[in-house]
Amino acid sequence: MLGYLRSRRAPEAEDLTGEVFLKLVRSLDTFEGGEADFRSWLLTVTHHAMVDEFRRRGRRPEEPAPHDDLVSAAPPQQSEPDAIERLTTEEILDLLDVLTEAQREVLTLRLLSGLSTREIGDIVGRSRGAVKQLQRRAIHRLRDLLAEHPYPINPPER
Amino acid sequence: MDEMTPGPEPEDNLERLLAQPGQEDERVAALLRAARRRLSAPAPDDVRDRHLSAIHGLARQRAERRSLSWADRARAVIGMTSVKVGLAAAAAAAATGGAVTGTLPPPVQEAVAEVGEAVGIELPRPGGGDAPAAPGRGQPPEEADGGARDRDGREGPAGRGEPGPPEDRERPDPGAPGREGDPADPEPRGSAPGDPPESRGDGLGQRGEAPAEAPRPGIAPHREEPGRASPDPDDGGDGSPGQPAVDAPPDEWPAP
Repeated sequence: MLGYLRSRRAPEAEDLTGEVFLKLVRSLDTFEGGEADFRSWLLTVTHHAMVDEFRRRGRRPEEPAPHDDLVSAAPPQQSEPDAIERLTTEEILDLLDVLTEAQREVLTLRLLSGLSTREIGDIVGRSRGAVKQLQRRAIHRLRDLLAEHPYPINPPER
Repeated sequence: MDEMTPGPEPEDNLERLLAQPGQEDERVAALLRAARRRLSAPAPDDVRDRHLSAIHGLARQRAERRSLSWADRARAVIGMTSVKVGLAAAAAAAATGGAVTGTLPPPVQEAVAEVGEAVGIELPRPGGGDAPAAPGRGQPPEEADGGARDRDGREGPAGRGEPGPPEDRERPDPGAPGREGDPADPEPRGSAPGDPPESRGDGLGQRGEAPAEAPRPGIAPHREEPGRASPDPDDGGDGSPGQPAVDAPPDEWPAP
């Protein structure tokens, strides 16, 4: 949940997580289902809370950064996969900014929640096919980014 | 590559990509693994403690509220029952009062008279045929007499404004049809019929005035009456006898 909020660059993700927990406690007696349902429900509440928070703050989740901003002139100092795995959270989020909002949403939910594409579709209000397509395109886009530009990539300045 | 190697579902592709990436997918797999690890990092301890504290406080509040709400619900159920009984009593009182005075519409009056006759009560028929006999068969005479006078707006000689002793009111009276155990008792026992209905501590006026607000037992102003222990109109169904339903229609009690 926190990871999902972080991945979406939700403002003050930790605090928002706390609010989501409180919402869950308040409506816990309305929940019915098993563990998978609970996880799905939890992420649905999280997703809605995040959308509400963005709306309250009058902005949408981060739009993708321009592709060229991610290119760095720095030469690779170590093997790329190792270097990538040492990226900080902020650097990772910057890289994920190349994705569209929907692609990022689906990919991070898949990565972090372990939910199926169908369950993610229920959360984000899309069909299973649309979720699959978004995930596929997200991976493609990241692969293209990392293939085109030698690593490390400096995150774009904000 | 997904388009080139179709087959497994994307979710399977993702896990496979993370676990056993091909040559060209090594970097993206590394990025996704890093994303999973970094983004899944737990919140700092202070944040976690704050959240747990807030959740604990909320859960405690809800538990307390729930225990209270059960009591409130029980009260509301009792209150709604009282309202329903009161409304039924009012309707019954109005109907029987009209039947006694013969003021109901002729078909209704006829029907009520027939029913009354079947159970031993003489009621006027439409057209003014039969006059009611002594109201309230089997009732103490002073009550019956008082009831008749009430309709004239005078105080009953037997002290209708003063309730009789409790034993008078609680004496079993098989001759009062429709009274025994009838929850739709139009007249609360032990109340002072000389008072207007709305002023009776447990009277119909209160029952009928605010049905939306569930009345609570014990909050209605209660007159000091020896024959009555509780103002709860639910008590009306206890089978204790009193005055007959046809005796003192509540809408015709004299003003105080």
